[in-house]
Amino acid sequence: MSTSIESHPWSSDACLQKSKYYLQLMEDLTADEWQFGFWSALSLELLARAALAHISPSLLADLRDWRNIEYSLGRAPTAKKFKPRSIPTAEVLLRLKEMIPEFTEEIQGFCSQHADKRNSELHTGELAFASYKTSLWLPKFYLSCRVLLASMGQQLSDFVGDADAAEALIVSLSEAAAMAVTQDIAAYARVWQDKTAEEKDEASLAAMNWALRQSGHRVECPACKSHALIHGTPSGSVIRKLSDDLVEEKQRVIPASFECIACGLRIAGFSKLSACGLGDAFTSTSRYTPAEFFGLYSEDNLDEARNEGYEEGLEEGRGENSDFEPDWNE
Amino acid sequence: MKDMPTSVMAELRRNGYVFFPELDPLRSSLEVAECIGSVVDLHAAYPGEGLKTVHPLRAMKEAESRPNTYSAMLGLKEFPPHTDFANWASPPRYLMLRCIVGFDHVFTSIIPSHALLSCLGETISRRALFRPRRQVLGKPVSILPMCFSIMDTEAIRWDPRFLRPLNNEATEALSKAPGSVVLQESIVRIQLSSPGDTLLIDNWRCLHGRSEIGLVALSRHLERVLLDEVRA
Repeated sequence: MSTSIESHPWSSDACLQKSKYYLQLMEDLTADEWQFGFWSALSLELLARAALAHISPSLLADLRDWRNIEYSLGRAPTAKKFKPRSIPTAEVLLRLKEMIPEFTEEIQGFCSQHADKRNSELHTGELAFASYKTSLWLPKFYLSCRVLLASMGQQLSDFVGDADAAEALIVSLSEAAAMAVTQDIAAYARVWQDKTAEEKDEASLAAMNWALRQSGHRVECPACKSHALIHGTPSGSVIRKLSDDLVEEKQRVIPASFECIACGLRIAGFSKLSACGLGDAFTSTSRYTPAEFFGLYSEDNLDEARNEGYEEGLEEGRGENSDFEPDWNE
Repeated sequence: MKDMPTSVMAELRRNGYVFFPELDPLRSSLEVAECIGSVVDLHAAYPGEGLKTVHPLRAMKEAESRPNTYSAMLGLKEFPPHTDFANWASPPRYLMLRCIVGFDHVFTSIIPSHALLSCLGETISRRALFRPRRQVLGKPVSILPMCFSIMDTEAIRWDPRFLRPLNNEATEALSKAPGSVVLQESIVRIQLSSPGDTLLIDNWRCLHGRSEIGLVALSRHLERVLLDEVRA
C-alpha cells in the first residue's frame, strides 16, 4: 500500500526533508551570522542520516537494544516505556565512509569536525560558530552535501537555493587543493635536484626496499620519481573468490595519504591526491588459506595436537590403548 | 464492469481523472471501486480510528459537521481545490467519488497539477515545505514537501486549510495560487448529478474541490472510496 499517514522518523525521506528545511533556514541568513554555520551543521547531520537510511533505516538503529532494529523496521514497540535510540553521528559517518566510496575519509573528517562544532555550540559555553569563517568550511560543506545527495540519487540543485554558486565553491576547493599540492611537489623536486647523484641513488634504493606492495599501494613519486606508497580507506563491498586451497578477498581502496621516503614528500587528503593524479582508487587484495580464513585447524595443527595428547596420555598412565579422546575444538 | 479498458486508462493517465456517467447505479460503491482497483481499507489499516472505507460525503452546515472537516470550516460554501489527505505522509493515489443523490447545479472542480506548478513556478514548487495543521491520529509530525515522488511517480500535495507553510516558498505558494488566472482557466467542472455517476481522480496529479451548495441541494450525497492503484 503506497498510502500512509505518517513517515517513519528514521526514514531517508523524513531525514532528507528536515535536512532541506534546516538548509533553507541557513540560507535565509547571511554568511556572517553565527546561526548560518549552526543550521548548516544540523542540516548536514540529517543529510548523513538520510543517506544511511537510504541504504536501510536499520543501519541507524543503536544495537545495544534489539528493539531499536524492530523500531527501524516500522514495527510497533513490544516493550513498555521503550524509547527508540539511533546511533551517534560519528558512527553514522564511519558507516557511510565504508559503504559509499565517494564519501572519502577527507569528507568524513570534515563532517565529523562540523558535527563537533555543533556539539560545542549546544553543549558548552563556547560560541563555536561565531568565529568559524565560511572560507574554512562552506566549500567542503557543499561538497559533502553533493556526495551524500548523489548517493540517494539526488542533485545539489534539488537541495540548495543557488546550485551554481555552490558548485563554484566546490570547484574552488579542488583548485585550491591543486595549487597547494603543485607548490609542494615543485618545492620537494627542487630540493631533490640539489642532491648529489650518490644521495639520490641511496635514497631511491631505500625507497624501493621500503615501498613494498604489502605495505600499501606502490606508485611513482611525482617529485623525485622514486617508489612511494599510497595508503587509503577500504570502501565498498568485499569481493571474495574461493578455490580449493585459497581464499582471495578484494576490496576497493580510496587514496587518503601519500608518502615518499626518498624525497620526504607527503600529501594528505583525497582532494590533493586527486589534483596531482594520485587519486585513482586501487584494489587491496588479501589471500588466505582455507584454514586461516575459516579459523580451522590444518593437518599439521591436528598432528601436533594428537602428538601432544598422546604424550600427555603416556604421562598420565594412559597408554596407546587408552580411551582418552582429546576434544580438539576446545 | 471488469478491468478498466485501455482507452480509459489512457484517459486517466492523460487527464488525471475519468468520468463514468451512471456506472452500474445498482451496485454499491465498494463493489464498483473493487472492480476499478485496489481499495485502501482505512478501517483495517487504522483500526479504532473511525475511518471508513466507503465514506459518505453529505452537504452540511458548519455547526452540523464533525470538527476538522471542510464542512465544519466552510459549510455549504465552495471548497477550495485540494489533495485529499494532503496532511498524510503519502496521500492516497486515487479517489473515487460516486453519486448517490445528485444535483445539476453542484460541480466537482478539477485542477491538473501542471497548472498549479506553472502558476507557482518550479523553484517555489520544488522548495515549498509544509507541515500538518495538527498531529494526525497521534502519529509523529514530519515535514511534507509540496512536490514529492513515490516509486518514481511524481506527485504534488496541496491543501490551503489543512497544511501549514513551513518556509517562505510555501507561504508564497499559498498566497499566489488563489488569484491565479492560470488556475482559474484550467478548472474542469464535472456534475455528479445522476445516481451512479462516478468520478475517478488521480489524487497525486489533480486537485479537486466543490462548488457552493444551495439550500435546495442539502440532500446531496456522494460516497468516496480511496484506491492505491487502478487495474489496467
